[in-house]
Amino acid sequence: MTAPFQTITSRAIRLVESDVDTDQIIPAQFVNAIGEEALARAFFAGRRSYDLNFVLNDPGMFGREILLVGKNFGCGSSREAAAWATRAWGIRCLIGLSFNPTFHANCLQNGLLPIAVGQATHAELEKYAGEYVVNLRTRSITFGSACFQFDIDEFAADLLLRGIDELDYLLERSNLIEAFERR
Amino acid sequence: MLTARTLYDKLWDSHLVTQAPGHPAVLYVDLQLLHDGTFRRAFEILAERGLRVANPARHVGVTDHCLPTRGPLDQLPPIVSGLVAECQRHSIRVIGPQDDSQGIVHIIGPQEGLTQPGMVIVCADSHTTTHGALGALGLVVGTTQIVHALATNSILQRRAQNMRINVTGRMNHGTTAKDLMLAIIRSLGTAAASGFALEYTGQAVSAMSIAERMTLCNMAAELSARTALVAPDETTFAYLRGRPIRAVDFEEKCDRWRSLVSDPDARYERDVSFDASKVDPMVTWGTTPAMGVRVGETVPIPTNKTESEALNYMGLTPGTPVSALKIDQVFIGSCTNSQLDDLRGAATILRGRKIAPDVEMLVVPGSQAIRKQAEAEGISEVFIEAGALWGRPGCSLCVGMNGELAPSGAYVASTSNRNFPGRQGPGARTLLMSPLTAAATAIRGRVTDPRSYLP
Repeated sequence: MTAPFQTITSRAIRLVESDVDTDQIIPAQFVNAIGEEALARAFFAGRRSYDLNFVLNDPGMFGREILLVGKNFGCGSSREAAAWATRAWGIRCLIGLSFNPTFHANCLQNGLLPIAVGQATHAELEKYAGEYVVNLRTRSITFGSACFQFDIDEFAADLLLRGIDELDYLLERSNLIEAFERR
Repeated sequence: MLTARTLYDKLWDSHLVTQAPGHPAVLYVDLQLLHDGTFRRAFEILAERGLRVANPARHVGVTDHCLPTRGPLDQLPPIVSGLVAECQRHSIRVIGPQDDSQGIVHIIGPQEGLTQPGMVIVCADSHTTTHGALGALGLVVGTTQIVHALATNSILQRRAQNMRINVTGRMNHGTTAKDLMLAIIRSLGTAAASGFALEYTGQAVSAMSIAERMTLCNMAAELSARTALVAPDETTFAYLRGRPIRAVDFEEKCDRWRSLVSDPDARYERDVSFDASKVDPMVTWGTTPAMGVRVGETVPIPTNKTESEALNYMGLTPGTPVSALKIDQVFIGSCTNSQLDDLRGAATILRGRKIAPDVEMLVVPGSQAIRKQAEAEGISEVFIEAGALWGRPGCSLCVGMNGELAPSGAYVASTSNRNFPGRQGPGARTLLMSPLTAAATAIRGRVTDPRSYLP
């Protein structure tokens, strides 16, 4: 249903804060936004409007596909629209110290790759201003001369690489399900 | 030799369609129950993806969450008529507000013979564990999984670990399945069964009616259990014989259902024992179901920040005897405690008595069938005579989705399952208890041990 996840080569947008909640990612009044454009406009709409120095207002950040975040990103309301808005902005991968479990699951359901890394890796990533290469097949982040491995649930990785969601996965197995029914 | 299996293992194995290494299993769904609280986005996704309901006979729609339980029913909330319309559009049986079978989804599953031993039942409601009282695997799903079940009759699941709570001894007079659960949750904590399929066994459980076992399995959600089970036995079969089950081969079915028990040497990753005879009537003082005490105890001194915050929300002072706690409202109802026996018990206490003048009391039977039977037995009359409101079946004040909420600051003696902040209305304070304790509490306007009113 979404495009297969390709290797990403991009510099990162740095939003290294703790406990960024989904109300910041997409304020409640925008959760019913329909369409990529409206969702992209809703992405951090509040902070972009009242804080002109907010990182997403920097034209130099446009087109970047990686969002470097802090601890417990995506906490608060379980709204799936937070993942939709992130994706609509053009983000393909989030790297952070930790993610809220619901937001994490919502990302995977919507073709976004969330990667949790340790303190040391995170510190090095934060220091490096150049491009990162995120390769889902090899579970690696390469930047400069450094290379880190990351963990991801096998099933989630398979779905992302194939560009399908759980419903597609089940529909692919319709024959098996029908055969089971006839037993 | 075959490995010894638990009941959960057997139900899992018999519904396993396929599983690739490292992937979750494709698990076959016998029945999906839809309700008016969570369905809408699911049907939208179905339409967006150009999919249809694979087998409409495997789904039943039920109106309960958003139905008004007081006052006239002349104008249905759009969400309720929306569910009825979606079900009709997809040829799914729907038990609407005017239906004789209407009631709370987890009450009418068993009541209507929809819930049967050995089934996998899914519902986008956290108390789907209730169906385990009949030996069915009740699994909670989210909105996207409603679509999975509609379109493919299956869901993706990871296998849970096995946990057993063996309840020995006999229940004390005036003490109910609800008190047992509040005592268990107090003792083990709200995360005790997280990631586990929980099976209840033991003498006390065997002696329980289906309604009481439903209370046990219902409250397993408050232990964070993925699912809960009681193995079907003669009590189960006797209950099912009275249901509208289309089966000429009912006795043959019973024979098959008799195999739905855990093997004697099956392994449980977590195994707990609990003595029913040590349980007394319980009441919660805080904001999780684990924050409970016996009605004879005092409000505890907080031992951590969470407990201090809970006491602060509840506006209670440590050291106060629980029996001195004043109540503004009493609610008897919800999928936990709205069965005929719950109402009969409460009526035993209220017969010939009045509720305290400053207390408002609402009694909401779990289904139309329970309502009619209670009216035929004169039970509804007892409540009305005592000064209570007799409501229409639905989820009502348990969750307040129908807009009927308790006011901020009000103390509600409630037979429901959750006392989270704001659950029964912003600022409303919930004290969970059994229907017997709730009835006794209504009379005095303060938390009261029901045994003082029982014969």
